[in-house]
Amino acid sequence: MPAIGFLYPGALAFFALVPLLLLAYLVRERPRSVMVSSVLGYRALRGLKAQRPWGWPRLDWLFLVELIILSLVVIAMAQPFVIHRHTPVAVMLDNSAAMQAGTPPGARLESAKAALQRAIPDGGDIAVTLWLTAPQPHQIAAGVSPWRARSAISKARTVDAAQSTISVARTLRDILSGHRFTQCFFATASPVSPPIPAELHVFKAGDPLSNYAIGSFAVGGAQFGSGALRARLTVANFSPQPQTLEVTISAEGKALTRAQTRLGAQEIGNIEFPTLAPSGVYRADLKPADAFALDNVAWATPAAGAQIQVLFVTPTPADAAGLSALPQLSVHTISPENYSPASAKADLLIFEYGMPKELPAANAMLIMPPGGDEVFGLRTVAGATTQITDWRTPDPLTDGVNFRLLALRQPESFAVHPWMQSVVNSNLGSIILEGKHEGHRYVVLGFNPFPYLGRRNLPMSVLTLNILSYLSGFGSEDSGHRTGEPFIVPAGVTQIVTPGGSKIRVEPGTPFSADAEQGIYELIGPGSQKRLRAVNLADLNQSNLENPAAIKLDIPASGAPPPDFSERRTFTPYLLAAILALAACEALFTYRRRRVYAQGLT
Amino acid sequence: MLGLPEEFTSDFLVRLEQLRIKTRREYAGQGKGSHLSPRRGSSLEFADYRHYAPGDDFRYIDWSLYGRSDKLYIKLFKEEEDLLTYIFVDASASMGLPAGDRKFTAAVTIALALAYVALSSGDRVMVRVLAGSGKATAPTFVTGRHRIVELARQLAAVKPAGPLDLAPALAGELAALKRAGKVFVISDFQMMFNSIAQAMGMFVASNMDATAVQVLGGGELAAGELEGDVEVVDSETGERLRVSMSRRARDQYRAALMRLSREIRAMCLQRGLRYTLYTTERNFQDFFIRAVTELGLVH
Repeated sequence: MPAIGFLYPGALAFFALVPLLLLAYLVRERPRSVMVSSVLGYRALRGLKAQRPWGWPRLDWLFLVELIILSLVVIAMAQPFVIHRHTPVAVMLDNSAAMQAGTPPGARLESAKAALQRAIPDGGDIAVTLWLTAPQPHQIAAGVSPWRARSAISKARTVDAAQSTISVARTLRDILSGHRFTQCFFATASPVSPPIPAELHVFKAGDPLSNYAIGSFAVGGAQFGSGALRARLTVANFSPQPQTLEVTISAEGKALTRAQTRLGAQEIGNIEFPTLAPSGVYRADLKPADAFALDNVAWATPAAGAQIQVLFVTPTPADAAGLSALPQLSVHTISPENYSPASAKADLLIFEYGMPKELPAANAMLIMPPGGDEVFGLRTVAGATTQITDWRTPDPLTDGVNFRLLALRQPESFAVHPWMQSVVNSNLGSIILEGKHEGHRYVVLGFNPFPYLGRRNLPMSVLTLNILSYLSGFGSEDSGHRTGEPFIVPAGVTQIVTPGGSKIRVEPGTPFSADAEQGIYELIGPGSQKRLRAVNLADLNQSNLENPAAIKLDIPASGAPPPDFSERRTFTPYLLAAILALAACEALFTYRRRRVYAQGLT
Repeated sequence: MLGLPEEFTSDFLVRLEQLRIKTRREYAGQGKGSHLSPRRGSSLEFADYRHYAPGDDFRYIDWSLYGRSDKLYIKLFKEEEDLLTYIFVDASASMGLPAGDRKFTAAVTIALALAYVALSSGDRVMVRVLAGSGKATAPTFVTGRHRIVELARQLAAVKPAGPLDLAPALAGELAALKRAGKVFVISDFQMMFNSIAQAMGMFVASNMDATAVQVLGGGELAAGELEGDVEVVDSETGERLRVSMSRRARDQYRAALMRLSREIRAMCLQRGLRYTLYTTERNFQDFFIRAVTELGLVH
């Protein structure tokens, strides 16, 4: 029952008018009764004083209506309001991949749901705002009743993505330090580092579990020209005892190969498969089984197993002649004036002596670009002679390159770049820059490695192949895409089919974030051209169920008094509306009665 | 004087004897009188001719017409008979209120005056009292001016009381009447207009020459004794109304009554009936002499 208050309680003194009205009726001179020959002529008088609104009180229902109207007016003058007790409660449920663990599977999530549903207080003033933590903390209900909050919690499902302890901690800090909620209930499998504020109630979902996990899983070719593929997996033993782990690689439902490794307690190791038969999709299964099945499976697609489309943008097409001789490489040459970002449907772009007007949405190599551009922000350094002074090693770009024999024709150097790193330095600056931006790799050369001469210029050819391998994904240690981490939709892709079969329309160049499910995503381009992309949990921190990463809140102690969440809601407008309605009813009734009597005369 | 109202002074009676009732049509009477009758008779009023038949009185042969047409015609004359006069007096409870206005007394006085005019003219008079208490008057005609005393005594015994629904009451009276004649209805007409119109319409349908005499009290019109909040009770229906009386309210009340009177008058004139209003604060003799025409009397 909400409490009622008055903004101007002094106005209630006017209630004295109500008994005065009654008194006036009670003490007034009673109308004397007079026998007349006929009341016919008096009917015309009805509605004069005794029948007028606000006329002399008569003890009929109109008098009661006037009494109510007067009472409402007095109450309205006092400006009544309802004190609405408002108790906002925040609830956060950990729905990360780790919550799938347990026996039976998902037991952690169910225990967390049950704990939260029990913890949510009941009451009409409770307003629950509900968050889920993965892939990123997000709100799924705001200011709902406890009943609806429990319903929403029961419908919550885990995702195959890890939760970011940093993001979760930041969200919790926002909740607790914003003084927007009286309490916060948080159910999670991750420990929360003390000190824990009094308003935060943490429910630990599940005990530490031994777990064996696949971290990364990458399949790729070693070099151009080699048909064989190699696979590399990171596996971990998050258990207190040493354990032999066995990984089986299969493709199209058939086991291709398997390997074992013995890892000590809490040890992480690698397993390599140097020769894999070519296939579109590979699946890795880890044994022995454990209580967290998600990270015992991983998917991979060969990084460079297919033909690589190269778009060579050059004013001198003859420079691209040698590239066509390389296997797995399909080169298309156009002049700079014919280049447009929309038409650049290639895996790899090479810009010779030129620069695109915007950052390419694909891996790209820039050969001797003009300095001072606004896209990359490259600045060339002028100098009489340029000599290579040092290079980064080990590095996939410099691997196997004999820089002493590398002869550069009229090289130029670049100044320090904001987001690209120098791979090969000269006495003036950087000769080779490498960087990643929005998921794409870019290499900038201060010299021209083309035309590709093969064995006739081995140092340059090795360097060129290294660059092309790097840009094509060969030799990459990258484990691919991880669940919950958005990736940029490649050029030409208009639809993505998730492992669950959902078809999602996408725009090329925009981030795709509906990738919280582990498995193979189909990226469909024009003409139903299909590209496969493996998305895995690939997060050993998440897989470490024995020592999960703690959430550090670091909330400063606040001496501020608890906020008052009560709200005053005036209902004076409703009173005024009621007064008007009653007055209108009385006026209408009086008018009709007068008309009836007036008509009665004739 | 002999139980007659005090207004019936010797002079007034003399003036009443000089009056006679005038009707707008001719009615057959029950005996010789002074009013032309639709019957053929021996008055000096020529009515028609007819062919002579053996046995006819030679004195009525029109010899000048015989000289022109060589045919014998008998002149016919109208008969002169007495007039059957019916006087209905409203004795309902409303006629007794306000008591100070003495409306019923005024109504009785008017009825006796009218009856005296008729009796002194040799006409037959039947006085009927509608509602009221006391011994009812007999539905018989009286003749001879000396019978006025008897009528006055009978009417004096009547006290206004009870309700009156005019139309049904008059319908019952008309059903008992055998011949048409002159009718006077004396009432305050404090009733619904429809009832009045229906009642007066019945006289028209019965070929009666009717005169409505409305009697209103001077105090009744002024509502002077009512001031402030008053609960008025209808003397006949018992209906109660609470009103707040003020000068403006009294004006409105008076206007309402006068509006009703005007409507009754208009209705009567439209139907060829006569109407007159008497308010009791007026001098009766003066009213009666002045309202001779409106009452349907002639000198």
